[in-house]
Amino acid sequence: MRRNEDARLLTGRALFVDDVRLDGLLHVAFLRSQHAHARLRSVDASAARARPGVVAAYTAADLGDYWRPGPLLVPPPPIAGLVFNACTQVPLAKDKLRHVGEPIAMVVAESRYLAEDALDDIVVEADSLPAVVDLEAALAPQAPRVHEHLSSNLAAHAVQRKGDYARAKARAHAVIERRFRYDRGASAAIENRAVAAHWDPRAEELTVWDTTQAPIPIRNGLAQLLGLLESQVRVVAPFVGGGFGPKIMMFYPEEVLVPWAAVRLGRPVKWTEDRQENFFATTQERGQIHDAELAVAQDGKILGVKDVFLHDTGAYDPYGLTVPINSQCTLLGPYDIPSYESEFTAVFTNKTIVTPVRGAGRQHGVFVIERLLDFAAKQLGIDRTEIRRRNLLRPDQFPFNNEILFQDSAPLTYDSGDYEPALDAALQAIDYQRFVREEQPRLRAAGHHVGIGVVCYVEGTGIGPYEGARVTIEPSGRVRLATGVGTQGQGHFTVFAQIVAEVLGVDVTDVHVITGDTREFHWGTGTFASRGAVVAGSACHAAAVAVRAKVLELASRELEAAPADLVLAGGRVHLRGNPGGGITLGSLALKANPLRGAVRPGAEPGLEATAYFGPDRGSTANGVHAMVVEVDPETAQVEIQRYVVVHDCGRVINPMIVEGQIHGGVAHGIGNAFFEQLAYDEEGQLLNASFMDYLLPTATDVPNVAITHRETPSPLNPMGVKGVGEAGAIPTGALFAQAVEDALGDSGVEICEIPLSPNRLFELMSAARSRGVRSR
Amino acid sequence: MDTTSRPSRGCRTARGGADALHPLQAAFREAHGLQCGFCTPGVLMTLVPFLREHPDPDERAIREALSGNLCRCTGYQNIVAAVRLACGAPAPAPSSPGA
Repeated sequence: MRRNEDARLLTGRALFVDDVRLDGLLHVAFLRSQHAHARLRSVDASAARARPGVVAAYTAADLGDYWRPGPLLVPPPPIAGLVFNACTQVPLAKDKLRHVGEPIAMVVAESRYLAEDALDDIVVEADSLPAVVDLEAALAPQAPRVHEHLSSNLAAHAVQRKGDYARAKARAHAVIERRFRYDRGASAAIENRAVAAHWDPRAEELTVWDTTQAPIPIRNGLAQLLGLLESQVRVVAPFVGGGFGPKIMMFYPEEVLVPWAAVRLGRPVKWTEDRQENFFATTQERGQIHDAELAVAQDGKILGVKDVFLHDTGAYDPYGLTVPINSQCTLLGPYDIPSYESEFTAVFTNKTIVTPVRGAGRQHGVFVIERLLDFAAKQLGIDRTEIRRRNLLRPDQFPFNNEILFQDSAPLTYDSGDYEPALDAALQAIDYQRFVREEQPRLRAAGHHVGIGVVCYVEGTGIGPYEGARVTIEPSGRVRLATGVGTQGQGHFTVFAQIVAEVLGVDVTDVHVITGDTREFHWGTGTFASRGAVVAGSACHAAAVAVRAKVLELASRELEAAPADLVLAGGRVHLRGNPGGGITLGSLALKANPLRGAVRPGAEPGLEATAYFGPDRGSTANGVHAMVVEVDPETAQVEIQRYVVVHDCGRVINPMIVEGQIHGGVAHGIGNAFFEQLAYDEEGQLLNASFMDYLLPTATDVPNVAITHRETPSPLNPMGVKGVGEAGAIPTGALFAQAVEDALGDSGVEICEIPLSPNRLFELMSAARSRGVRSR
Repeated sequence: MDTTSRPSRGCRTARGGADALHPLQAAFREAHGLQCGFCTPGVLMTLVPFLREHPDPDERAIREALSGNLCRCTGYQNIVAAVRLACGAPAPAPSSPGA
């Protein structure tokens, strides 16, 4: 099936924010902090204002009442004993600089060149302070404080418990203890952020084009900030060139300042981020350090897990605890873990803000449990895949309540799943038994360092609160579908159209989808947490079902037939068994909106309906990834030879799009595992803020992925779907570690960290060799 | 400007003057070789001259040709499939059916 949106994208006719061209458009550049941590004494922009071509230059002092910290976007769940210190980002720095790239001043000029030139005219006086960079050092009593009104750099502390871990440990046959470090990188969407704004004084309406994943919350927030009615603000998220998390409803400084300047100056204003700004000023994910232990019985059954971890939240924490709570919850995986004790401390550092990036902390949790199981298997002499099999939840255990709270504040309950067949399918697809029995010994004997990895994971997807959709049949017979969520490449123009087309019996290409424009639909939340198809898709389905009922009611009067005898197909309604007869949907739409004649009392005009869908809790997808690698012991290069994915996201609406999501996620995960690391020095300076130094996987780095779909429907929505957007990226780090370690055989290398790189892997191999020499 | 019909012009972009897609564009649509579409014009502009020089490239050559273009959405797999489709290779094998 072809995607409805592709013709526009392929021929350069799709609108991205930077394509917005308006008469009199002004351009913006931001002066950003070069300090990770500093006392800001003064900012003088007067010389910049005097430069020809500069229309305005603003510092924090110029913002007046508009200067206020951003909103807390996700309040933390009600965990007993939770400590949470909310410190949200500010539009322009005042008094203190807290990370490199934090905006200090904004210049508006006739061109971007002039605006950037004028940045040099701004005089900043700042006294450098020692930077908070290392996670553990950040909590030392004498550590400098990122936020001085707090007594330490502690951003949050939370403990969640299930069962009695101390008892489990006391009766364990073995307790596996390790320290794990898992670092993640930039989202690195190929399109950087951009905002354009236009105030129309005649209509008294503000239009904002924004590369956001959540245009409706942005509209609501901007209206409040600017003192306008929500209906006076239209936010359009047109085509967006990749989201991956950081384009969520952040209320970034640039996002609140560009519209403000457009209103204030009475001229349209645009800012487009450059790649270097993206590295410093767009939110990231980064590191956690886990001290974890696994208590197991002799047969490999898990008795309990204890995990204590530190989470780097960066300079501010507007996204609450979503990332560390995802780590905490996703660690439990597809396994029956009777006792769990998980404690985390989130720490402020002088680095870019941490918010979800594709996977959103789930990777870290999967890495910890999967590695613990690998080490337990080795210690107990059980096959890696067998220890997993022995601990998988059984189909009769669903819905399965994990007895802790998830990021959406609902209890972490898995709705449905069938895990063992997924494992079997993966083992079959990668030909596990043959590899470990025949292929690996043969290749090893020939001097090849080949290894295999198999890891399992679950992903909480499709959380609330809700989304909505409006379906309208037009007199042309074409169907218009409007929904609030924005699109960043997930195929909404096609998937949502498919859902509606199936219900109304029309061609997918006859459903015109409008997403991400608050003038077209203004209730909803946004595209994140793998929730588009689940939540917005279910709303589209509900709206289409409601329109179908209207169609049937009207058609039964027109055709003098009972609704049960009518069929919707080919854009017509006809009597069963008479596909050529009946009446077109377009004609019915005309009759539903008559120009003359009587309308029945209580009738609504048109064939249109609006519906909403809000699940109580998310649906849980799952999967198994497996791969075969060869490691070159001289260069520590890793070649991925086979990669298979078995994936269950409930009912699959569009296999082509689901597979595309998985391909991209796996590539992102491989980047995370072996290529991408944000390298901060001890002064909080990011050392690799360019694509020359921060390596995204290229076409020669990413393998072909063979995908097997399994479908365990979710009982939580009428279509039985679960989310898939993040899945590919979640287990890759754990898989990489297991496969590479296996390839290195009995070298003594234990991989307890991600990302690796050829350099880092070489260091680990060398360290293991010298340990081996010493112990001899 | 149209990528198909104006070889004499010095500048070629993805934007077509006519309604018809270039065969490579059509193959991208068939094989789901794009998601957000932001990198796509650049990828097409790399591939059109590459394919003129190499009308029947193997997968490794396609991947080498693409290695200067970054894509964050597709994992490149379906871009490669689209190129092969444009070169007349059969459509990519579907993944295994649902179990």
